[in-house]
Amino acid sequence: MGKNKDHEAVASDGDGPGDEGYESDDGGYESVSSEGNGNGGSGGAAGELVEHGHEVAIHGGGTLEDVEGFDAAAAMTEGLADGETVPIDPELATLPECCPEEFEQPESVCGNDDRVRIRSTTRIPWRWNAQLIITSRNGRKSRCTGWFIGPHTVMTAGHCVYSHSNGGWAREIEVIPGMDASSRPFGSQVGRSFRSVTGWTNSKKPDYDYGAIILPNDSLGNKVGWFGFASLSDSSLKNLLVNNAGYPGDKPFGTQWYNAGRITKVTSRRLYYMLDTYGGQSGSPVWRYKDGKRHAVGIHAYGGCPNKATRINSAVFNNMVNWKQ
Amino acid sequence: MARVRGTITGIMESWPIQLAIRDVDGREFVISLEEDTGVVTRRGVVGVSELREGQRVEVDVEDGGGDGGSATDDVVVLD
Repeated sequence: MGKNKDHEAVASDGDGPGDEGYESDDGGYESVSSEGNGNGGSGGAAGELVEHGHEVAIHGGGTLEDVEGFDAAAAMTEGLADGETVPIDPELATLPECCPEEFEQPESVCGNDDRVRIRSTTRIPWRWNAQLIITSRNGRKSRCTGWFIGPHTVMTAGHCVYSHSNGGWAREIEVIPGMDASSRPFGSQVGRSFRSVTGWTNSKKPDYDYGAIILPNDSLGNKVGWFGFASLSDSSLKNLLVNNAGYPGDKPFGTQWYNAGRITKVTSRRLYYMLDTYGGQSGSPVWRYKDGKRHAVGIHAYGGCPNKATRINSAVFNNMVNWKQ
Repeated sequence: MARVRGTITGIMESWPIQLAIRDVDGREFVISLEEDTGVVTRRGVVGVSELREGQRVEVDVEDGGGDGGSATDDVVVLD
């Protein structure tokens, strides 16, 4: 890692002549960093290696957060991989095919909009999420979502900390965890130190679109706690049920919204899914909830149905471990 | 001010959103939209939610001080 300015840093993360082929991370091992619950509590040792368990690939595994009003059944079936089928009601099966023009998508989302507002944002895991208010180098204001991975480190998308259209590195970013409309239950901090990788800052490659905000001290992170994160194998990720929450721009300002569904496609650097997202949710965590533990496996960054996250592969994982030091 | 015409290669979900566009010469641009930027299609003006990767678009931009700029008008879908 090298600093190009006194308050900004980039990690090389495989950038260079071979960056597109980059590493294979499906080697039978998974890396896990534990979550922390806040109030000064810390998680387990970062970088702990655990042997890859055997999961049932077709069903993916993972569980949904318990969110009132969320249609869990739809999330279980939406985005099933090609070739997989679900039983069809005989009456529905006889309906004629129809023109796509009659089924335009009026929403920002993939199919039906089944996002649910989170009102208990002071509870885990919602308080680990933060509204980000970005002041770009050229003075423009924009918004993203971030999430704590340590007492002073907030993960987000690369384009939230470094915008090629707005002069490069952000000037400053206000981090407001657990924000709920006008309520800022934990206060906020302003970060002026950022991290990303050269694959994003120099090469503009979407595969490398991730970054972090380094806060001036540990007070806010220790108050709210943080997500664990994990680098999982392809087989563990395919069809995995994952959760996502963030601060979309089409909803009342500062309100956090939840959605969930399956990962439908996995590449070495990206995760694809039909979870409903919108502008403003860039940087939000895509996490696995399993056995009572939450580990982020991706950093949401792109829309367009399917929507996409930067995958936390072993290289991303290692940078995250370094950034939370 | 310049007019960028090319194919959407990425829809970054900041708010407002940012579009990655590759023009016919292979040049990459990143365009920040405004909160009220619309998308003009054959069906009229729709929301940015209807943008998709692979669409050919045209948009007027002003220099943003980096490798791209800010949209000054609606995004026109050419397909």
